[in-house]
Amino acid sequence: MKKISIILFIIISASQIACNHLDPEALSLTTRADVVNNFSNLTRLRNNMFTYLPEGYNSIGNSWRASASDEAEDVNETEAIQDLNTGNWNIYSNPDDAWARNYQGIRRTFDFIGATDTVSYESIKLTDAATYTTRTSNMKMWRSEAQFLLAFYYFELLKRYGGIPLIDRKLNIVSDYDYMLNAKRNSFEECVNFIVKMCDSSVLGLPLRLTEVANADWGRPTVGAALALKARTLTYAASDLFNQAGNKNNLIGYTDNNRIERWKLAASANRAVLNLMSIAPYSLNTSYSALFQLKTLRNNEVIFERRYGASNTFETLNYPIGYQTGRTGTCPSQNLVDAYEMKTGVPFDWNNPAHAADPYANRDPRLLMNVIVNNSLWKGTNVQLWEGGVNGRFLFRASKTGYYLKKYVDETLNLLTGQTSAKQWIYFRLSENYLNLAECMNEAFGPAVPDTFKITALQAVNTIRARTGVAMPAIPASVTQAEMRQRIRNERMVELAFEDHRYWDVRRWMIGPSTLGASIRGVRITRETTGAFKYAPYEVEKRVFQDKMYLYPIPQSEIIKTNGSIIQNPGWN
Amino acid sequence: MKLFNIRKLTFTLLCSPLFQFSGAVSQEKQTSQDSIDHSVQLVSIAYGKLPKRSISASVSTLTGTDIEKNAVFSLGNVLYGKVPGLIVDQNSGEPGNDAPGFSFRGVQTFGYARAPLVLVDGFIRDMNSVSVFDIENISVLKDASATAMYGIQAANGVIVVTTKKGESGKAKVNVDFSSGFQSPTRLPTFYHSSDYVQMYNQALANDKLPALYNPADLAGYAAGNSALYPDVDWLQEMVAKQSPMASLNVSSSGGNRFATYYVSLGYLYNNGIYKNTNNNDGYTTNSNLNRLNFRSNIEVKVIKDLSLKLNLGGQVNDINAPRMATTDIWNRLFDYPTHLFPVFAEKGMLGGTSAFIDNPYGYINNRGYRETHNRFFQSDMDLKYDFSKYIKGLEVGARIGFDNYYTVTDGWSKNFAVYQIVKNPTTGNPGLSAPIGTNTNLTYNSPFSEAQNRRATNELYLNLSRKFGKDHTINLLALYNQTRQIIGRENPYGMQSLNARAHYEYKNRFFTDVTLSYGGTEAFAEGKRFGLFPAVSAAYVVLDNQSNGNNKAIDYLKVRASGGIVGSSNVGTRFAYRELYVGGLSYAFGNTNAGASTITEGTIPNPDLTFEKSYQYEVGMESRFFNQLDLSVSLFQQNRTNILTSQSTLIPALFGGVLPSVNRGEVRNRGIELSLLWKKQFKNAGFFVQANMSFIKDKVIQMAEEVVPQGSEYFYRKGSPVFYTYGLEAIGFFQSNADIAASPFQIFGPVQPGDIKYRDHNNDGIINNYDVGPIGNGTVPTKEFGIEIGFNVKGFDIQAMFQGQMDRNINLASYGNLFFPLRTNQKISTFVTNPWTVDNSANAQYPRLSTLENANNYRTSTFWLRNGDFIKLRSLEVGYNFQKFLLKKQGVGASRLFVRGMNLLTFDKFKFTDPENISGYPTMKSLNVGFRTQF
Repeated sequence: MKKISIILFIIISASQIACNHLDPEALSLTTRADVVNNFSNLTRLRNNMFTYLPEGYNSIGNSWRASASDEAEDVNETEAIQDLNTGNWNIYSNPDDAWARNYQGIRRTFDFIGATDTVSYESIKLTDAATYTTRTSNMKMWRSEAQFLLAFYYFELLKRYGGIPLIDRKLNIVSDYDYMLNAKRNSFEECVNFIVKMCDSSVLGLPLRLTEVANADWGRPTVGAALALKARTLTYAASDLFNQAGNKNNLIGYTDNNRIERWKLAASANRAVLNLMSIAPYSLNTSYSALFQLKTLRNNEVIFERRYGASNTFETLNYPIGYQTGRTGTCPSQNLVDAYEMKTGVPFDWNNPAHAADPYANRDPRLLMNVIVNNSLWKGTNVQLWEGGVNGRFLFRASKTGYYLKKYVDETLNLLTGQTSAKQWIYFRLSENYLNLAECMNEAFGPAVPDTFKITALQAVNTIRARTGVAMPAIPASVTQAEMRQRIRNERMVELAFEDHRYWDVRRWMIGPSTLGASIRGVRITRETTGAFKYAPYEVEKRVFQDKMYLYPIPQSEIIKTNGSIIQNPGWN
Repeated sequence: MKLFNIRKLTFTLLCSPLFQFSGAVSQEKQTSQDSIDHSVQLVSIAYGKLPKRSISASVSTLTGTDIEKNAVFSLGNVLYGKVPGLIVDQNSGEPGNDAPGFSFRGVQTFGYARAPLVLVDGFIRDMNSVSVFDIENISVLKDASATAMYGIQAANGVIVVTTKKGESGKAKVNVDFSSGFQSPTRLPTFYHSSDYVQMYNQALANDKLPALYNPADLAGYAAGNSALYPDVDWLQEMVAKQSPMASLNVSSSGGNRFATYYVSLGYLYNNGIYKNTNNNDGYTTNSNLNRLNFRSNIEVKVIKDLSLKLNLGGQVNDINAPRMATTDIWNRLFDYPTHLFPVFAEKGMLGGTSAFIDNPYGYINNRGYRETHNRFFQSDMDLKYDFSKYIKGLEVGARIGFDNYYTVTDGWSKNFAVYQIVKNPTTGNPGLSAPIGTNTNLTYNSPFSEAQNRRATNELYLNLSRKFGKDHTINLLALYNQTRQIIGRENPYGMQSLNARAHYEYKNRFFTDVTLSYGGTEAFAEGKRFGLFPAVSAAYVVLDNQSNGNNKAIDYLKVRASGGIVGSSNVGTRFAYRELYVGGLSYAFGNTNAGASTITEGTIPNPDLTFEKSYQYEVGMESRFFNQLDLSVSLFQQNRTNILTSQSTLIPALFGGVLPSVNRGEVRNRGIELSLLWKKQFKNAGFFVQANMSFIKDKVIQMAEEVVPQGSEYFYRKGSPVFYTYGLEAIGFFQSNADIAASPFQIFGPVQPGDIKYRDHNNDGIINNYDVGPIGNGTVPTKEFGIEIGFNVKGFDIQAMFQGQMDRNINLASYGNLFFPLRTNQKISTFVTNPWTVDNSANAQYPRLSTLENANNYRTSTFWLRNGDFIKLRSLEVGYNFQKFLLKKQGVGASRLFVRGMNLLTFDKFKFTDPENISGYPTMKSLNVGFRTQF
């Protein structure tokens, strides 16, 4: 008995010891192998590459870059975007710092490329030929998407910082440690060339137009998207900011004098987008305003867009105060409103008593499509923007400028019951390429010379002015190149308002002091006892702009971490 | 118990008050055990017990009697101020949710885990899963030498809870009953409607907005509560003056040569503080706790040399509460206006408006209820074989512990309508609006939280205890431990360790321990899982005039010193060495703009990630003077290294991945602990004073921090204590527009006269986040103390226990709804006194009132920092002990009748709400009458 119990005791004791006790039981973890070897995980990894694309709406806090350009002013003083207006941004803090985000996107994209480098479906070639064919062609397309996205992310960096370090792989935290600590910025030219190269090679694998692919893939890049990105990149690269006379710093622009060639190159890239119209169903939309209420629809003017599921965040932020739970948000500026010409094609002028008395009558129709003006109809009632009106000045959160935002805002929602709607943010649409082309042609050849492009600057810009529902008179052929430049710039401002162009355009044109640094104006509206309104423009906000702000500062933390091998942009320290 | 073959000591053990169940309270036993001879008093240490004298490590201990004196509902709540260095922070008084938080020896790390390891009967268990009445003693193991047996988990200190065991002899039955009432220590107060409307108009005027309340309204509110001009004190309406509590505990112990037992059954009822909660048919919405617990500790001699111990314990908690979350309820009680609507617009119809649909009466009573059911089941078995006949003094044993915990919360919900009282425009009489919202019936919600936790621990041990000659005693313990733990749906946790300790005694004067632990967890990569944790300590009894009977001024003096390394494996990240993929951000595609499923590279693997290490050094002394005054002092330093800290300040962002944390952080912590006991017992009377205090200061030595501009270096945490409050320095209010124009620009929002003005810390002419610096002590005190005073005369005794914390701050900016009024139309608390106005600019004590979100004023700054020091009367007990002879005839043993008050007094500078529990469900004070007896 005793012996038995001792033996039993030893057995019980010994049985407790487990040799591999600490091998983790990884029940719910997804490893890299699980991703590489699983087609559905690869589709999720493919989707993931897109998630670092820039937000369209509410991209900076509850505001957006439009409110840091002369297009608008945010109603809320505490929005981070205001730092850009007050000059309170620097090497330590920048509300639009996109350095880390885009490198994150670049890493995720290289991760997808790496994960699919060795993926092969040869094993099912014979047993399941149909699946083999779709998967193989999918893989080609997806890897082209990756190239497009690399180009996109690098362009986001390029337009902010100038030349940036070009990373060509998914960096390893150990083996690339020294490389990272000694990272150097590539020259502006190298970066442009890299982006163009990525666009060019992605074209080979992208579908021409999404008619070729499933409905579920709307919102993915196509050949058009790659060509449009290339066109925009080359247009920017030819612009003043990156072609400053006597520039010796190849990080911030070109140092040679081949600018005309660059305009021609950009013209041909934009021409290539327009050429797509002959093989893919791209065309200017018949309704300008409908372009910004597309919800889930597809539109032939839109080349690449970001889709958003149903939401009312943007509406809650931007409905005028007094309309349901609206909080005003973006207040379009008088600066923008004044840029809309009279229907006759002459500029609006406050010194013209007829204009000033009824400033919203007989204007370019796009004004009322983009901006809510006083006493105009919104959600079934007239907006009371006058002092004392229910949406007017002096009320908490009422518009600072006398205008509310209309573009992109879905008027049909009932915010009180929490109604929502889907949205799209347009990254590229055809209109831009007409205007890019007009700009390039004008710079390269003047207003009326088609060269080999079969279109003149005048024709290009007048196509936009003549679009259905806008029908602005053509710019006369008599304009000079300099006049034409102003007309094109004005046309961009009014046509592409709030589409995240102006903020960048004024930088590349180097007209910061007269736009970003100019006072933001609004209009003071008073209602007479007769019911008539009086309009008086006034200064809403003085803004701060210094030349160094044409390019963003590289975050100081990055310069410290690389011990200065990353060189700061001029003027920032 | 395994460390020594202590049969020799069993007798003394059983006689010591340690082991005596407190039902039989006699004069000696209810005083603290500290005055007992150190060579007799047995103290629980890691895996065993030792006489206090023989311990060379740093251990503080509390006996069951100490604990019952402060018996409250959860065990944690008895520890306030009891153990120097163990900081206990009181939480809310919500039934079932009142466990306090612990921090051990101040702040030792900025890493993930700061709470000490708690073991009940040698296994890792929730302290509050054990009944207060079942505790034999609690030891707090402090230095590396005391904790090193728990090696990789020991760095934050270890609390060892031991439950009562049976003793051979006649069966005894103890009954303990107490019952009483509790009420909030403090509730915030708010302005009445008449004051509110005036202040609101003032706030509007400050915001340059037209007044909302016209003179007729103001007059209406001034006239007092009426249908159109209500004045509702929601706290008074919904919070009862007091609520009942009761507890009953019955236990029995006894045994013979072959077996001993201790069994107990306890019941506890604790009712919540909400009012009017019984209006629903068949259920209450009040919060309450019904707890049943049992314990059965049995020891059996199976055969001659084989003994078996089996401990079973369980607890069933049924917690009822209103359906809506507690914080939401209290936010509404604190926010909802007094002046807009009455509780009931008409009989049975709750008042409200479309902006205020959550009438607190309805929110508590008409939204349904939820029930939480927790079940703890704990079992452990110890099988031990005595090999003495083969090798003298050798024991080999195995222990198995298996615990299960299940919790589920069920909800039953419904909705209610509110009615607004509207003034009839023609008659001016009050009328009712259409219902806002709808009344619905009670419906069941599927369980909204559920977890099943399990833990299994196996241990094997080998214990050799032998005396060589007259002077040398050695005890060797080797122990293997492996634990597997499953927490809900998380990946299982594993732990494995091999531990050994050698204890040597020379002439009962010199003592030394060498402890070595080699342990690991599955959380880290192979090669980084295991750590070796050595510790060494020694003690020398310099003076001992007590045992040889010739009393001197100094009766006893022991000095000790220790050093060692222990770890903390709970760093908040597991499997950091693996390359894992996790769900990514969202992005929509397709003709329905559907969010696409994404998967993204997770945190970059860090194969080097490992546990925190704590280098601990301590010297101490224990002494007794004049045979009545005990004093002990400890000085310690702890250097915590390997604290996880970010790498983002090292790796350029162009890397693009989610950087893993690295073991680079370091915190140093130093302190002194004192404890003192002065005790004198005469024939019929006696007194004692027991005091302990700790002064502890910590400092960040190494931590990753973002670069800040030159001149703003004070922003860095390095060199400051871990939990310092960082904020702006307020330098008064702007007095005029000229003042604003002449001052640096404050970027947080537009400022007006009456707004808070900040100091330009870095003199760059702009006040922004780079002007933030250390402004105060933080929420963890550097000084804590407890003082206990007791007197007894004949059968009567009285005892009071005070606890205090010093160098502690309250940051009001964390409790916006009480201190930042009107932003969402909420009430104004009476904390707001004398706000800035144009006419009262010089003496203002509060910034100008505003109806807007004033981002300039409402942010952390010295203005919102308050002194959080406090002294609380944690317990006050008056009792009478019936002498045995009085009761003998009835067959009843020693008995005691007592009145006990908890948290009766708070002395502090804050004086608005409880300094430890600013907002939310209040902290409770209570008064109980109780009786214990033994058969």
